[in-house]
Amino acid sequence: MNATPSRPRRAVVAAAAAVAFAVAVSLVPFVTRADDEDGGPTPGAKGSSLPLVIKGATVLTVTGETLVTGTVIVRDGKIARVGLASAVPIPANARVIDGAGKYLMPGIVDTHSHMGVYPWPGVKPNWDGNEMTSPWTPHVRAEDGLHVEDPAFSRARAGGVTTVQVLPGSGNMIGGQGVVIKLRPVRTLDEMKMKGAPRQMKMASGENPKRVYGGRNQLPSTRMGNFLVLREAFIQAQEYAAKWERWEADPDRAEKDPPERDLKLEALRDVMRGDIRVHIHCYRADEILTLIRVGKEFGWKPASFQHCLEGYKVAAHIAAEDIGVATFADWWGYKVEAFDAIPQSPAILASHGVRVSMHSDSPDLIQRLYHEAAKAVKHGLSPEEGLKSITIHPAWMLGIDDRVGSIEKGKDADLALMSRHPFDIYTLVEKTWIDGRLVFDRDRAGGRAW
Amino acid sequence: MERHVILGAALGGLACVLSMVPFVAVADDDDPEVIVIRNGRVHTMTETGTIDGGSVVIADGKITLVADGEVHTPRGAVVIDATGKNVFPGLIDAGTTLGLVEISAVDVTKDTDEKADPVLPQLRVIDGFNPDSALIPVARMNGITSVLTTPGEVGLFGGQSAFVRLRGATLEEALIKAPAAIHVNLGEAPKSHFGDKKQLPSTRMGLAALFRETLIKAREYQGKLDRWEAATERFAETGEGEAPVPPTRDLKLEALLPVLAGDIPLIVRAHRADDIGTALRLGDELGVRIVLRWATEAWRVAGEIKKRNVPVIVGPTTTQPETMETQGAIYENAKRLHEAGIKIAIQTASAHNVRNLPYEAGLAVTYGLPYEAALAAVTRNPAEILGVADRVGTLEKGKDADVIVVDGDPFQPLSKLEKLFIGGVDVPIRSRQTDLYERYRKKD
Repeated sequence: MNATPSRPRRAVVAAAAAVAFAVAVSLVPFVTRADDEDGGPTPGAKGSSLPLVIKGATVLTVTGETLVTGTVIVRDGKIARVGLASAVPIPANARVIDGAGKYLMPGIVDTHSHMGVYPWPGVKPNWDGNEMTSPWTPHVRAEDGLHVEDPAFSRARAGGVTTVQVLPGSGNMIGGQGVVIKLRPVRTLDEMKMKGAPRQMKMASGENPKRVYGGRNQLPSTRMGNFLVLREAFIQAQEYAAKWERWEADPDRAEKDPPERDLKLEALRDVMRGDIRVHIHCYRADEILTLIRVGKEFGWKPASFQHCLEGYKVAAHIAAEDIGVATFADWWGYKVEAFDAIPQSPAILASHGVRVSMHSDSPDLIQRLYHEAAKAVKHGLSPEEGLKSITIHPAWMLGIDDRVGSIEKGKDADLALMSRHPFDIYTLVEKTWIDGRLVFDRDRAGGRAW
Repeated sequence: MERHVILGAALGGLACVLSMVPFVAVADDDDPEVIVIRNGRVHTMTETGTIDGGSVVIADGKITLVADGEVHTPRGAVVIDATGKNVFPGLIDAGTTLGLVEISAVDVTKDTDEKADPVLPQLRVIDGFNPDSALIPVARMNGITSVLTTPGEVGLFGGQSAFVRLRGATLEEALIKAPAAIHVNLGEAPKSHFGDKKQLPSTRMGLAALFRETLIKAREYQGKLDRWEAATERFAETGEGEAPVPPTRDLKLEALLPVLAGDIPLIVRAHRADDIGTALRLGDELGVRIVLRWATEAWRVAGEIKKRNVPVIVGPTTTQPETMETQGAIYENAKRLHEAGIKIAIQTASAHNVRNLPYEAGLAVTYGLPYEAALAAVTRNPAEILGVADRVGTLEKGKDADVIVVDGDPFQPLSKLEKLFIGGVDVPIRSRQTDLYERYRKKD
């Protein structure tokens, strides 16, 4: 929902801001480093010769059976074995974590975050998520604004979150390219990015773009204008793609200048080719259907609708297209287009066969996405779908469900060990692993999350 | 011109949305019948504690009996079998803007902040409270039966709050107490707003100066009134000279007189430890009763707060270090204050998310607050802090029959609210949202 942060704060002079910022940031330790005491990789992580074993926990595999007393073996960053504790022998040199009475779930996946591009503290110099200078900016990339030391990342790890899509905001109809990251406590973007994850594009619709540009007496100021912008952009991209195809097909092209590159149109051409997955911020039922129609006109289909608070009204249409829905459990009423939101929407969507995920869009909610899933279950979503809504379904929307989102042999060892069932209000994430590396340990943090 | 277009569009959209499903109407006449809730686990929140197999009897909107075991059931009484269920006082949210806002982004539906003047203690929530708000039934869905509705965060003196129950077609039916308190905002919100207008207060110094100056003027005004009253009495006795002329009424200062008299508190919104310190210091200096609200960094100055026995309306538990003044936000704030012996209530500081109050309390328990203390923080404590403990907050004879029946722990998301009584009326657990659900759940 972030077109702009909800409470714009006064800009301060640069020097004062810098000083204040330094003070503020120093209050929040950057990263809870949970590596081994010697600083080397923890057992189970890539580069460690030792396996990691989590023994005796209730293993919520998500895609398979729940193992009431299960054991998971992790080697070299991957899940090496999953089985009943009674059936899985423990390797002699393993680091063993006793999971008795606890719950082990896959690391949580969030398709919608602005961490890093709206880092804490939320002062204006930190706003880097919304390039609201043109209603379509498909060439800008979230990764180029990502502050890898945003203190919010630590708290998300303490909430068992391991994989996140960081998206540009929704001020533009086409906001730019998202980036899929693993929440590794590192210092460079390169170490944080999930290598090999598909490219992603953020689009929007509805009140935000028309408010931003309408407020400047520019196009778009109506929903009609919104979709005009979208169609014109893709028509230009079609012409651009045709130009390149003509050049590539020209036998004399070696002597001819290629067409000038246009990064905006290039990105949209890649969307039409299916090389970039599309995630669209939307609310109203009519817009959801219009977006399906416009996508068909240009030969692409969204991977997910984001927010999609009226999705329940057109659930059959979304199901027919096999488009995912990433939504809030109970946020509502903050805008006119959010007034018809109901907490039963995930249940209705799922009853039609739509894959539903709980997204955060917030550095606060991301810390307790398992409780957001619980709220959806309270309102009729099955407990199985509830767990999938924060693991395998968001992974599917991002095109990474072959690597994360469930506890299966061969998958990335992204895991969260919880003191109670994830839907229990009193549960706490005790340990989080990413690629087998221990990245959060409540014991080592003195019981505190950061 | 454009403004009209935008406004028109907004209203059109709103009308469209609102017209789709009628608001849920709730019977407003108190049911004269006797209601007996029997064989429940009754959490009285009084010294009686929790009664297994207890009964609660309701008549004429009040609790007439709380008993250990079965009670005589009069002929015609409505019997609610609470076997295996928990019975609690209705939950209380000690800080909301419920009834003052419908759609956050639509200004015409917002009545929280009067932004022209930093000192408006005479503003009254009751004059903006909409008992028909669609948000009220939504808030009830998780067992919240009464709330403090406060002015917004912009004014230094933001106005007078109202304690309301979440039932009633009119303000009078909903209202339990007004003014419940005068609200003061410190920190970023007022100084940003007035600073942008190049107007005092644009700094924390400015906020404190205006705070002090306003209360000193109120004391002077009180003095003038006292002297006029004394002179009037003398005149009545002696008849000498001319009848004394009363001081010109000053509504701002008049509104503060109940605070000076100690009848109602100043509820001060402050995040940073030093802002909390400012509130405590000015409270000492000016001799007024302070209640802290939000109090994100209160855990850092718990000793100072306890020393003065200042209560804290804490939370939401989920407050994050997202702004410059909330850098010290921790989930353990409620626990730390409770351990220091401070009386706490928990708020959502919300309108749309008031229904999440049980989860805010539950999360405080997750982070160390004892369960009974968390229950008290959403029942008895807010009632005591806000001066309405004669009406709500516990299950005992003579109190309003605000009672909920839950199939488990009300703090758990998967628990189900089964019954909701407000002032003895069996309120349907329905909202605009459940009506929309019923409309769209069918697959055709």
